[in-house]
Amino acid sequence: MASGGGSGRRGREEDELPVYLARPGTTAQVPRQKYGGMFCSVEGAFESKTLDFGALSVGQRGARGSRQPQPAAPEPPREPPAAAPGVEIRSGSDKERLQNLGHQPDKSDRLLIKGGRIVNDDQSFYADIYMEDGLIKQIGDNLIVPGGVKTIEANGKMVIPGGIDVHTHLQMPYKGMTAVDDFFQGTKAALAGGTTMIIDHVIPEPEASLTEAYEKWREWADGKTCCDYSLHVDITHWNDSVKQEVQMLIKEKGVNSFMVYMAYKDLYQMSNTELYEIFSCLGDLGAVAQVHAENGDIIEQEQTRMLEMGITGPEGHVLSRPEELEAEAVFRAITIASQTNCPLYVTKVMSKSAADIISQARKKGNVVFGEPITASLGTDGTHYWSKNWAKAAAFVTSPPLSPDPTTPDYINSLLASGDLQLSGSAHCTFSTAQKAIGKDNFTGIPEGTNGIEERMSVIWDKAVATGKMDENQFVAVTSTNAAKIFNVYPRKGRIAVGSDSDLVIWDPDAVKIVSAKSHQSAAEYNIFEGMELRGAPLVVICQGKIMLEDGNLHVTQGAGRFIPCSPFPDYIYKRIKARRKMAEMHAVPRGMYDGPVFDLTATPKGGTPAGSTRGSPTRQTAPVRNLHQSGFSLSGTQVDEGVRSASKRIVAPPGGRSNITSLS
Amino acid sequence: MSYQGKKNIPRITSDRLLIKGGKIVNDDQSFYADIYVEDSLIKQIGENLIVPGGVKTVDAYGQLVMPGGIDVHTRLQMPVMGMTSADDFYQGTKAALAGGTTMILDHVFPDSGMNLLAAYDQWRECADNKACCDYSLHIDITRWHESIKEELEALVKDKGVNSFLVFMAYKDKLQCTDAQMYEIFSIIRDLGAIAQVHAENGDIIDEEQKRLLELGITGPEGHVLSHPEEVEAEAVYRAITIAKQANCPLYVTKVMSKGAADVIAQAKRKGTVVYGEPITASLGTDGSHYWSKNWAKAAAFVTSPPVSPDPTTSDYLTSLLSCGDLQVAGSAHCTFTTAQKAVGKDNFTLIPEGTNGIEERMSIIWEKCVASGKMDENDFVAVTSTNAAKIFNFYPRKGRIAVGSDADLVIWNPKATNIVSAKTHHLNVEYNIFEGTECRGSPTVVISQGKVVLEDGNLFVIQGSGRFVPRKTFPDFVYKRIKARNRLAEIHGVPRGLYDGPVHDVIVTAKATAPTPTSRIAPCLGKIPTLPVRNLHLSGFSLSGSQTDDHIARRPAQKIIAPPGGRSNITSLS
Repeated sequence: MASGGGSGRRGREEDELPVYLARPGTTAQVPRQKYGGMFCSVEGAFESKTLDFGALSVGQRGARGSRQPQPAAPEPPREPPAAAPGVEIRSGSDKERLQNLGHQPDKSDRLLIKGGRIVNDDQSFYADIYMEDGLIKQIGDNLIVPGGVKTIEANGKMVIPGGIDVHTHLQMPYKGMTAVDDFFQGTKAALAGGTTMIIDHVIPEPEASLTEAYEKWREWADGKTCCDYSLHVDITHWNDSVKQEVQMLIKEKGVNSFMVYMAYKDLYQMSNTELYEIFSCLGDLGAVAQVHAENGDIIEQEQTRMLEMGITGPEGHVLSRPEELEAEAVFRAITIASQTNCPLYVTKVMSKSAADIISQARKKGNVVFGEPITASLGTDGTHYWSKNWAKAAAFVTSPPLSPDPTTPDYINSLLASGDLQLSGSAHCTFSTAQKAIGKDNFTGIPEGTNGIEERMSVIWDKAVATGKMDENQFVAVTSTNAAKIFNVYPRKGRIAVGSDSDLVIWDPDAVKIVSAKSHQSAAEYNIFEGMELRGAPLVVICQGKIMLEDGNLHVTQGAGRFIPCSPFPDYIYKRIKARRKMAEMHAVPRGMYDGPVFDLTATPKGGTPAGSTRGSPTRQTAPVRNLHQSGFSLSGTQVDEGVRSASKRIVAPPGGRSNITSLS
Repeated sequence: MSYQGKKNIPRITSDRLLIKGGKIVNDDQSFYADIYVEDSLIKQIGENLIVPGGVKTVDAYGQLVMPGGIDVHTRLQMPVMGMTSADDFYQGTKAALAGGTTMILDHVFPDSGMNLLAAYDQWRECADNKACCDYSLHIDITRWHESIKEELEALVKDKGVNSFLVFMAYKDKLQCTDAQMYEIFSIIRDLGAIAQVHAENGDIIDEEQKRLLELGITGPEGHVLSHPEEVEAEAVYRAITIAKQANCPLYVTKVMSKGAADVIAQAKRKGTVVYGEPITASLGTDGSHYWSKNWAKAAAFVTSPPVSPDPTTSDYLTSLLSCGDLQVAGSAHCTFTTAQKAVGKDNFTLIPEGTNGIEERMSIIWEKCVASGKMDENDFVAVTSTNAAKIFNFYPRKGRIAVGSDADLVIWNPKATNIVSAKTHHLNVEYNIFEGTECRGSPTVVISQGKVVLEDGNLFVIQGSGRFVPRKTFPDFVYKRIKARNRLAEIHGVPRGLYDGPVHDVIVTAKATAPTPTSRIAPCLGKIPTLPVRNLHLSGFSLSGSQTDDHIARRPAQKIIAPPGGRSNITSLS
C-alpha cells in the first residue's frame, strides 16, 4: 500500500477521479455523462481541485487505498483480504495491545482513519485523521499515533463532516399526542443516514413560557439523544415578558435562533407589527430570525371554502395552501426583515416561487437564507391525490409539497448554485393512526413528514450524482453552511484539527432503496418509499465513536450533548453590523416654519367621528379658498402653542432662514 | 374660427361643431379626417362632410385631434382631519380641462362609520353642483363591516359604481387585514366590479413612523423615510396574491416606485389580471425634494406612497407605461394649501397627504414619453384615456374618436412648449410640485360635451355642467379572462374509500385557544398516556370504542359499499 510512489500515482491519475463522475454507465442510475452540458462538470475539474498532500511533500506515500478502478482489474494482494471496495475497521494488533495494557482496547475513543479523501466545503485532499477524546487531533500523512489505536481503512472513500440537520421536530407534542419519533428514535435515524447533529425546534404552547418549554425540551433531549443537538425556540406569542425571555435564552441558554409563524391563524400567527418588533429585537440581540412563511389569513379562508365544497381529504390541504401564499409570505418577511436590518432565515422552502423570491432578494443584497427540506428536494405533491388516504396523509406538511413535479429538480439547482444555502429535514412524523384524526377533515391532520434519515442520500442522489453540485458543495449544504449560520463553526461542519470528530465515510456508489420496512423511523409510511438513492454512509462517527458500520448501528441513548450557540454569528452579522453603521438617519435642519397654519376646529385625528359627521365635511370647511383672506394670523391661539419654545422663533437657523413664499 | 354661411345663428349655440384638418389619433391608428359634432356626440367622421350651415368650425391643421384625457384618480374636495382639500370639484375640473382632461374619476372617501351609500350621495351632490366636466366615482372601503356586501351590491346595481378601493395602509384607521381583503375581493368578483388597492404595508409604516419620531425626525423627510419603497412593493405583491387567490381583477393605484412596478410587471407575465396606475407625480418628478430646506416645498410633496427619492424612478416608470406593463395614468390630485399642510409642521405624520397633477398630467406624459421617443401618439391616447375607459367600462363612449362617442376631444399641439408654474396654474395652492418643468405638447383647444371649453388659452367653463357617467359591471376588457378562469377553476375532491384504519385517540382538547394557567405543563402530562407511541398498533385499540368523531353522524351504508376505483387499503403502499 505504501509502495508505488509518485510515478505510480500519476500513472493512475484517471482512476483517482471519483467513481461517480469518472465512470458513467457502471450502474443503471448513473446519468448520461456528457461534457459541456449545463450541469456537467468541466472535464478534469475535480482532479485539480483535489489537493494531493502526498504529491506536494517529499518522500510521502503516494498511492492510496485501492479505489478499485476497474472491476476486472486484478486486485493487489492485501492483508487481510478484506471485502474489497468497502471500509475495513480493525483494532490494534496483539502486539500493540500488549504495549497499551493500561488501555481498554475497545474503548475506541482513539480512532485513526487511514487513506480517506477528506472533503471539506472548500477543498478535498487525501490525508489520515487521528481522533482522541471526541476531537480531531491530527490530520496528515504518516501520523504518529499511539499504538493499539482502532484504525479504519477508508480505502480512498470520502470522509466528510457529519451532516447537520437544521430543522427537526422530534417528540413534538401536538394536540396531546407526541410525534412518533422521539429524540432517541429520531437521532438514531439521523445517525443511520449520516447526520451527526440536529437542531430541534422548541414549540411552547401559546401563552406559555419560552424558558419553561426550553427546559422541558432539554430534559427530553438530554435523556434520549444519541447525537449532539442544539435548539431553536419558536416564538408563539409576543409581549414584553417574552422579549425578556428571549434575551435570557440568548445570553444564558445558548440559543441563537428563534422562529416565528406567519401561518396558523389564531394559534401561532404573528401580525406584521409583531414581526417587526420581533425582528428588531432579534437583530439587536444578534440572533437569527427564522420564519415559517405562509399567509395564514388566506389559508384559513381557503380552508373554509374547501370544506364548504365538500373536499375533506388530504388534497384539500394542498389546495388550500397554494404556493403563491408561501411566496407572498416570504416576500413580506424579507421586506420586514430588511426594514429592521435583521438577518432572515426562511424555513421549509417548498415551492419554486418561494425559492425564486429568496434568490431575487439575495441578488438585491438582503441578508436572507433559505432552507429546503428533504421532502421538497426529493419528492413532489402529486401524492396528495392518491386514492390511498393513508399515503396521501403521510405527505401532509406545511407549506405543502408542490404538486408541480419539476419542483424538486428546480430546488436542487438553486441549492447547488448557492441561492439556497442549507438543508433540513423538518422531520416530524406521525403514525397513520395519528394522522387519521383528520380523516374527515384535512385541517385536523397533524402535519409533518419524515426525512431525517434520507436527507444526505437524497441530496447526493438528486444533486451530486446528477452533476448539479460537487462533493464540496455537498458538504457545504449539508453541514458547513448550517454550522456557520448557527455559529457552531468550525467545531462542527469541518474536518480540521480541533473540530469535533463527527465524521461520515461516504460511499458515493452505494445504492439503497428507501422503504418503510427498513427505515429507522417509527412511522409506517415513508414518503420516499421505493426511491432508489445513490450515495450512502459507510461509517458514521459521532463524538469520536463509531455509530454505524457494516449497516449496524451502535448508539447509546442519552449520549448526545447540547451544543450552545452564541449570538452574532460572523457569517451573518458582519454585513448587518456594517449596514447598521451606514443606516443612520438624520433630520434636515430647517428654519422653523413661520407661515400660517390651518386651524383645526374639529378633532385632528378622525379616529371615531360621531354619527353626526355624515353630512358635515363639506359644510364644515366649505370656504377653504378664502383661507388666505380670512385675516388669520399667528397671534391667535395655535394648536401647537404648547410645543413651541419662544427662543426658537428668534434665532436664525443654520443654513439661513427659509421663507415659505420663496420657490426654492 | 369662422362661421360657415354667415347666417344669423347665435354664437351661443355652439353644440354643432366641425373640426377640420386635424389628424385623428386613436389608440390603434391615426388618420386625417374632419369631425362633425352635434348634441355633444360625434356624428360624422370623414372628409368633405355634409354639414348644416352656420356650424362653428375649429381649425386643427397641423395638430392632433385626440380623445379627451380621462383622469382615473382624483380626490377633489376631499375631507381630511376636518379640512377639505383646496381644490373643490369646480376648481379641480377647471384645471383638468385646462390640461386636456375631459373626464375624471373621483374617489368617494366615507368617514369611518359612514354608510357607503350616504357618502356616495354626498359626493354626487357636491360634484353635480360644481363639476365642469363629466365624472364618475370610485368608492373607498374605509371600514370593514358585516353588511358591506349589501352596500356594495346596492352601489353596483343601482348607482353605477364598479370600482372599490381598499387600503392596506393607515393602520387602525382605514387598513384592511388580509382576511378582510380576501372577502372583499370575493364579493367584488361576484359583483363584476374592480378591486382597487392602496398598497402599502401599514403595520411597518406605523412602526417606522414611531421610530423616526423617536429619533427626532419630524420634518417631511420623515414621511419618505417611514414609507420605504420595499413596503410598497411588499403590499403590491400581497394584494396580487390575494386577488389571484380570490380570482378578482386587481387595480393598483398610485404606483410610485420601481419595486412596485416590477412586481406588477412580473405578475402580468405570470398571467395575473392586474393593472397598475402611475400618477403624474411619480412620472414627472422625484422625492429628493423631501430633503428641501424649505419646509413648505418639502411638505408639498407629501403623498402616500411617497414619491421615490431615487431620481431614475420617473424614467423607469415612463418606460413601463410605454411598454404596456403599466396601463393607465392618473393624477391622484389632492391638494392642500401650505397652511393646511402646516398642521403637520412639528410632526410629519399629521401633514395632509396629496400632490397636484390633474392639470399637468397630459403634458407631463407627452414630455416624458412621447417627446422622448418612448411611445407614439397612439400609445399616448391609450394610457391617457382609452385604457381607462376600457377598464372602467365606458368604452367606446369615452376614450375613442368614433361616430356615436361623446364629443370629448382635445386638439393637441405637439410643438407648443409651456413651463409649469404655480403662478399660472389653475389651482388653489401656492406650490406646484412640477414647478419649472418645461413641457413640450399642450392642448390648444379642448372640447367637452361638444362645447369648446378651452380656446386661445381662455377657459369657458360652466360650473355644474358635468354629468355623472354611470358604469356597468363586468367590463369585458377585464372580466373575459376572469370568467374563463372561474369556469376552469373548479376543484374536485378525490373519491376515496373510507379510511378504516385505527385512529389515534385525542385526549386533550384540540384547539388550545385560551388555555388556563394550568395548561402550562399539560403537554408534559399529556405525554404520559401516549408515551409508548410505537405500541399503538399492539394496544388492542379498536374502532368500537368511543371516537372523537362520534358526534359526526356516520351513515352506516358507507362502510359497506365498495367505493369507485376499488377499496383502498391502508397497509398497501400504492
